[in-house]
Amino acid sequence: MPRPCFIPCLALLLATPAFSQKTAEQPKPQTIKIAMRDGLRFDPPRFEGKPGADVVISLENLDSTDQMHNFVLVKPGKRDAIVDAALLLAEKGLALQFVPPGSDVLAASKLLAPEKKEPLRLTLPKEPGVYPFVCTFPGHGLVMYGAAYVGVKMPLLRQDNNIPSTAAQTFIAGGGKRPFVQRIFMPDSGPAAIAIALPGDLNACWDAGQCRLRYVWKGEFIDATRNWAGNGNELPTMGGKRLWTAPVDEVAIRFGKATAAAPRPKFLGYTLEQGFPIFRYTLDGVEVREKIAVDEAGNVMREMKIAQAAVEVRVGLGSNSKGKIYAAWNSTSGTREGGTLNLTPEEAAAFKLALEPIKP
Amino acid sequence: MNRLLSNSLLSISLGWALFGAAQSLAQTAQPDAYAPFYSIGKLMMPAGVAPEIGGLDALPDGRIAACFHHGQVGIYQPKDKTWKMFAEGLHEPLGLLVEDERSILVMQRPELTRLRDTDGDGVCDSYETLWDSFGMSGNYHEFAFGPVRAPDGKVVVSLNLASQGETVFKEVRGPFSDIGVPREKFYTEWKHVKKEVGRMYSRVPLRGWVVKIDPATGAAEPWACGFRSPDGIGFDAAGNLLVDDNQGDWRGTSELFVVKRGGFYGHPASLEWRQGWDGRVPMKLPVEELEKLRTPAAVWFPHGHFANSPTQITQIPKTKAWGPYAGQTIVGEMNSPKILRVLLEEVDGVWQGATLNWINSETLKRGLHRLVFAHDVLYVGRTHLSWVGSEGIGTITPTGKVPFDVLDMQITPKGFRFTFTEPLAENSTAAKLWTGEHYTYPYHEDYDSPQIAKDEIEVETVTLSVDRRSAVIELPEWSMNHIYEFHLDKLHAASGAEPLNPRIAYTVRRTPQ
Repeated sequence: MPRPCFIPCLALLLATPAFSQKTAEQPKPQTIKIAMRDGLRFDPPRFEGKPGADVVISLENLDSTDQMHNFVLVKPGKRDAIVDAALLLAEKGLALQFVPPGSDVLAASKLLAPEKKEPLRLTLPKEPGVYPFVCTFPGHGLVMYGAAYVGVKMPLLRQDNNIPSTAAQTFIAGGGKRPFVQRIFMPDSGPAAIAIALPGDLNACWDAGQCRLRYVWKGEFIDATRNWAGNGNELPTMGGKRLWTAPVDEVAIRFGKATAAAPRPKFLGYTLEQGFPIFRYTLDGVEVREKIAVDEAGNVMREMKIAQAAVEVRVGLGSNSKGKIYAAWNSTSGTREGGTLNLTPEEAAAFKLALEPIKP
Repeated sequence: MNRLLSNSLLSISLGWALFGAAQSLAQTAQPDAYAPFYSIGKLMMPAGVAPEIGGLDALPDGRIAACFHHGQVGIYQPKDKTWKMFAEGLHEPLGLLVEDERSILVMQRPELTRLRDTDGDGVCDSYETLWDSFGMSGNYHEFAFGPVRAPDGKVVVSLNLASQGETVFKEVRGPFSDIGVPREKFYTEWKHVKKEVGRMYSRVPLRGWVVKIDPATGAAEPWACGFRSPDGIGFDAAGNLLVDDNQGDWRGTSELFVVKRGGFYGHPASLEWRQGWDGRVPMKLPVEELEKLRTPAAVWFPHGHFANSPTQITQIPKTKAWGPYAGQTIVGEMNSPKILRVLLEEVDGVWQGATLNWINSETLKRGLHRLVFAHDVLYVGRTHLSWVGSEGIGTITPTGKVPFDVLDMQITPKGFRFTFTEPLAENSTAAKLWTGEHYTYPYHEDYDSPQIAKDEIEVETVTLSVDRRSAVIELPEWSMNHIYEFHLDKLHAASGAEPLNPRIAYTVRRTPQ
């Protein structure tokens, strides 16, 4: 297990009233891991912290192109000025690790050679705000920067103007590509979850353990920064609004009577058709194909094919869901009975469900 | 550091253009003892991919397939040093196996998947679930490893236990075992019950198991249990299934097992998924009872000096390039920059053997997770998953020079026979040159263990073969279930060379008659 050591960097932590050196006797400070990577970027490019909190920025230069980097936290709005000042240091720069003197610099690491690490211990400013950090090695600062959100909530990745847009893409699964399928732990789902990005900012969570759609939301696709930065324990986050959520205990498809037992699901995988997933699974041995896509009206669409149902098919439409529902499933065939769609075996062979907005 | 600084100073004083200093600071590797024998390089990684390597395998034409931390699979063409992405969107894939040009098996957290390129455009369009009939609690530590091809054509995967570091998801996949702490307490009283569930736990099916799967049908056979975090699966040249496991609870140090069908390999949590289990909480069984059930490790990797977290197991190919090591078994390691060799033998029906470093060079970096040979190059994929490790893919190419090294070590009735890559110096018959210590590790629930019952190795006699390539040493007595760790740094070859890897640790379970 990694045991971070808290070695204060005496020479380089430029103390200001807001930033004071801490000794090793203090209780455990929050550790924030930040790597310097190929393509001049910080990974992750941003973090949240509490005003006045003790933190350790655990820095590691993982740039495989043999670049040196540092980490300089500056006062709000001073990023460009510090980058320019570092350049003007010219020959003196290296001796100063390219950190210009002055009160605009709140904390700075050493210049780290590839493979080198530094635990930079500091106290976050008491004044809430967005504090930029930047690599001041000449030529890097224009693209290699990020932001410390101190007492300020981070916006969605792609709406964050305080980080380079290329850095944001790295953590949105698929880098902004739509349609896109990403298997990952998801909130409000079983652990074998599949996140699907669809055109029109629509997104869905499909549960491969239970073989059913769990919810649909509109907005940013999943931000996997925290999940990917660690051992997989943290769940990804997502932006926007849930349009529809299946009830936790709903049986998505039942054969025969309304009281028939829930069929046993077996997931068979998926194919990609122009990037849209077509899930294949069996329910008590009956094969189902379910394509998740978007229809012409821009609604999430499930194209269902249940080829060999011997009896009536009952599809749960999730209208008993708790909480606010902004959309409902409408079908091309079958008959509605409460929250269920009933289909004859012939109708079930091919039908479409569209998630249409409910007019308030 | 000095060199880097002077390099960058040079670039600054030479051309102080705005971006002048952004040029690469070429870092020359420090010469090390391994450099004359192995040339170590690296591959450039594809753009926009987090370069933590979950799995590596070679295509028949020498291309290399790799899976990455964020779920992509890429194929590297060494001829023009380019990557082509094959698949994406997988959930923490930690191993892959190439079937053919258009089909790759990959073990991701939720399942064993066949990735197929059905239309021949070089990109996977079909993600087929081959096997997912195992439990997932949502606990982060339930990693899944493999697949590795068995000699019979089937594939072997392994499933980690969950960690007490976290509870389970509200929804799990598979039945939740009712043995031990009731499920609802995982949600309502986690802080109080976490100590009771065990440091590592298996409350959904087959966690802590090694499973054999028929790739044609997906039919799975739970093969053996008793594992904790079995990252390394492989076969030796004789076709034995080898699995290694990480030091921790019930593992005083990291271990390697020769795995037989139906075996139990020490960590009790997984026992409750044995057919016909009697319902007792496995970790509360008396250690004496567990001791009777288990097969001990064939090889202990002493923590600190050998391996702290062993990984992929594979064989060195039987090609000329690898010289005398051809056909031997190697193991990667996460916490130090090394690949180890494992020398196994069966004595009186019991597998045991030795381990020693093969290549131990800072240039390799840490986190040496996956190893694959292709066209006389060994590719090394690195990862860390937030523990100790590194990233990217390194390459190892033999230079053709063979070091002075222990080639083999076998047990004899009264000691060991060492075989070397070169004849020994004449003075090697001196017993005082053959030093070391022996010690053991207890079988206990605690996390890790110090080396106990430690004593110096006393060598009575040394007899050299006529060609002086092998030596038989004899000891006055045996301490059973001890590691005999020799420090052969006082030995020399007839050529004057010092041994490249002087430490070798043999785990003694049986002695031949």
